[in-house]
Amino acid sequence: MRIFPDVSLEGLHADEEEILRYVGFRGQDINDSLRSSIKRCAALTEQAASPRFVTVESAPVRILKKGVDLDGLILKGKDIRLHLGQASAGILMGVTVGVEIERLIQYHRRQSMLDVLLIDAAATDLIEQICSRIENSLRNIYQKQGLDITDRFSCGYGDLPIEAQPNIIRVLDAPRAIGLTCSSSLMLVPQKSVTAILGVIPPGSYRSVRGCQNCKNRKHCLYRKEGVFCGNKGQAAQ
Amino acid sequence: MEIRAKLRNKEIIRLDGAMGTMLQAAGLKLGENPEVLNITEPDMVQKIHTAYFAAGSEIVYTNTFGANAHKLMRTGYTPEDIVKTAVRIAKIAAKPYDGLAALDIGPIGELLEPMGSLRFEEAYELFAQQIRAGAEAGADLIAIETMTDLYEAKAALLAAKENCDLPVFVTMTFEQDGRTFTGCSVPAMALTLQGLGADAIGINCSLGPKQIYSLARTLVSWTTLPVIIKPNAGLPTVIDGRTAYDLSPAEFGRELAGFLDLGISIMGGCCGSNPEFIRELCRNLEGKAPDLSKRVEKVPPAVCSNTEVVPIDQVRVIGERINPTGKKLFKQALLNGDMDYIVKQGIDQAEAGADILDVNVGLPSIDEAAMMTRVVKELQGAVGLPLQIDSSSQAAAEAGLRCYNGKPILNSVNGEEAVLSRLLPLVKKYGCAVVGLTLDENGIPKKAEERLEIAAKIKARALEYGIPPEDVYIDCLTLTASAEQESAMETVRAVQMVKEQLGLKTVLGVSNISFGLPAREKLNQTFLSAAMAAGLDLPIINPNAAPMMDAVSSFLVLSNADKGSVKYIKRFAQEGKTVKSAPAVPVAGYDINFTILHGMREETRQLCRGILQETAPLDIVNQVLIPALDEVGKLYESGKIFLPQLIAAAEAAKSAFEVIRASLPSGDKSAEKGPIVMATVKGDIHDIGKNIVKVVLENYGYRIIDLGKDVPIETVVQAVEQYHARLVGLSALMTTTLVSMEQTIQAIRKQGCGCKIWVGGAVLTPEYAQQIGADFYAKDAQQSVAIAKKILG
Repeated sequence: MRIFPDVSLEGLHADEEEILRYVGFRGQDINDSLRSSIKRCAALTEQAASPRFVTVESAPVRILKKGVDLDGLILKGKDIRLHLGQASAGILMGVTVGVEIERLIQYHRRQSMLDVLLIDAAATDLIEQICSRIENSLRNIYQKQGLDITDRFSCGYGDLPIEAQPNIIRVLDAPRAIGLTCSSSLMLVPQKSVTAILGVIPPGSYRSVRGCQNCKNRKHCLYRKEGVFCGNKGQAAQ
Repeated sequence: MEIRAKLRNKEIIRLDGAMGTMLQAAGLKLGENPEVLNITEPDMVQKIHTAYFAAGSEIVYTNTFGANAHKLMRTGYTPEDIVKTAVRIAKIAAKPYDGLAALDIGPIGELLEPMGSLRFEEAYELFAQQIRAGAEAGADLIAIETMTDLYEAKAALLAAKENCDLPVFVTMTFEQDGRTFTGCSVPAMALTLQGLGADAIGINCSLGPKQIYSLARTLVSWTTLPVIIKPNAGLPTVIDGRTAYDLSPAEFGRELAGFLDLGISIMGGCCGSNPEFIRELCRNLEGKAPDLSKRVEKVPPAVCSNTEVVPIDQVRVIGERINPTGKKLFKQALLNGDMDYIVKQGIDQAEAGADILDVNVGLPSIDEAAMMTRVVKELQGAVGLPLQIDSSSQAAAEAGLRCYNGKPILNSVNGEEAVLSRLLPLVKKYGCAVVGLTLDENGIPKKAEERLEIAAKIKARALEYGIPPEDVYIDCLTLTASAEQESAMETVRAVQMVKEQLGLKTVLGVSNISFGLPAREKLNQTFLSAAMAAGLDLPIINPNAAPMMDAVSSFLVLSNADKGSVKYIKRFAQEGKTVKSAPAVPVAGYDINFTILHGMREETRQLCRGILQETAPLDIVNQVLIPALDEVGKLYESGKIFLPQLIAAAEAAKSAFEVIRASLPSGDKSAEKGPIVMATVKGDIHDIGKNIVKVVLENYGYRIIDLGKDVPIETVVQAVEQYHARLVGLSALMTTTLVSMEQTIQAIRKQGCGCKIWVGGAVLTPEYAQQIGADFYAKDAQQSVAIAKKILG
């Protein structure tokens, strides 16, 4: 069932420190020219962004031997079992900043790949902020009912296969609701988009499944090599 | 019901309401394919159709919204299975009511290129498959609906026009701000779809009648076709814990019937509606008729991209720079398939104020039609301006018109009968505007009166093909003043006559006037001003030439188009600060190593120019630029600088490299090593990493053949062969596209090219690279450089 959390998408600003983090900043000297490029690209990205989201509540949640059945949507793996283990319902979320950003990137890539890199990072930060706002709003709604929600878990985290993406998109009716689609190679299009799964749970019953120990890339991750982490800010960076 | 007559007279036609809503009410779950129910629950589907007919619908849409091969993939049914059954069911329901069955075609569910990886041609095939089946099964018309992408709507409409003879309805779905998710505006939709031959167009879904009203009002001023409005039952809201739409059937019927005041004649309901809504609608339509006095008699003269409409209601500049004639670097870019260079010409002209871009890629040694398709697709993904397809090759002209996302201009036809009968059908089919040159088999007439005659002939012939005069732009032809001095004012006179006596818009390529004389720009500027005063609408000029744009800017004030001189004042408030040609930046005290390291582009460019005075170009590359880049690379590896700084340095070095390349005689390849073929593999559209590597490699002097993203395997193999590449770079970001990478590698090996292959991308590891048969793995641009040095020197 589609739900409509009250989320303000106004006043979104790409955070400069986050942009730097996404492009691999580790304390180097930054000159004014780069600082002003970051500001400029952040502003361009904010202007071009059309943030949109769709949220659907699904019940019942049936825990299977090797995954979860969310009202007919089958999600495989042990991590999603852990994630939704205590859940009475699941919430699916689809978020995008729209296609204008892609056009902005196509426009700028012939002039400066640096701009493209910064725009891409700014868009990633905007998506993260939007997702946080939605999550907070959802948490408020369910806490008012004496419940709580988990954090966000997405395809590609832990052992939740990316093959689940088209089904999630379909249940969200995302193409019609927010213009978000999934290509035949399982990429989300527009690229700067996210889908996620949360669970509605009794308060105090949840421990995050996110973090480096669950990530398939932990052996090769360039962020981990430097002792930091990527966008999957779980409850602890491990 | 004789539908074509009803459409011609814009009589009321009553459509049905939602199918999905009804099926969900009967138990269909979120995420299930409703189309499968045609086969598993035919009675349920037929009952719904019957209920709508009983409520007053004259046409029902078949339950085939998602019946394309992609969406049906996991169901085990083919589009033919579903479509034929669905049409049969609808026709059975229709019979007792003498009603009609429309084949419902919804979006494929994947975004088309350039944002997504679904090609225009693939989308066309998916639609054609459904349409052929539907026509065979006896559908009475085609209803393309809920489209958010004009490109996809065009693919579907073309598929319908080319695979059946049925009337075609096309509706798109908009957000409240009047744009679709992909940025298409209501006027852009109207101009494009009417041109392509839709029989009726309109708006459906997403919004309720109240929210659509203002969009509908815009729509009727941009089309002469019958208009369809099929709204949702209001806006969704949560009532008692359930999602519902906020209008009652009575409110819906009343609000929608109000659209008759706009001259709208075709109505129905979308999500949230049911037979009750249709019954109320029909009750409110009883005894009424659309107010056709509100409809426009002619479509306003205009062209468009999918996002931007350019009305030809004042002087509009057509940028001429995308053309290989006399341009060494442009020719080289065409031969290399260097899309970046070509698109940059488009971007520069857009920034300089062009309204429309001419696109000419005619070069003897290339496949012009293929290149036209490629360039048009790349341009329309980066620049929002409408395009003018410029070619003397029919194949290339058609290729451009076909793949263009919007309503373009075709440059050109002329007075020759053979040309007219060959090209006017294309113009009619693709709904573009057309430039008509006032010359024929006898050449260019001397007198303005004779040119007027040819113009009149072109107008009449176009009309015979159903091409409205608003879409015919006459080019009275500019001759060189140095050779034919009397012709200059003759051309101006001709422009005036065509405007006044034929009422047609006029085009003119201006630069020709000054060929062979000194101070060309002064002649061009004056001639342009004279022509505009005589009524020239569309000058074809170089927008980067400030004096020409100044003349246009001034004329827009004098012709009362730039109201309050707002734009003029803004432009010349910058007087003294030149816009495009950057003034000399102070470089005293800087050395080129410093400027490259600190990413200072302009300074690097200038310093390089200085160094060129006393050092050979190749020496600069090998002894200055490459060592500087090596130094930057070392700093990056040690973490002293990070990625943005690496890129900034590479782009600074690039500006030096551009200076060097321009200073070499044409054809001199001595500064180039390689070539290297690079591509992001099939199915993958992430190319930022690849593009960064490309910029860095280019600065080391390697010639890069960049095939772009989502590149088919055969294209990579072909390019390796064609360019005799000894090194190939492939990138992929997703685990799902690694398969494509492996297949691409296999295909290259099979061809026996003997080249080396290196791979990169977030999901690659050295182990995996080895597993799939690559020769090298590079984790970043610097490692790629090391590999290139090793293989190519």
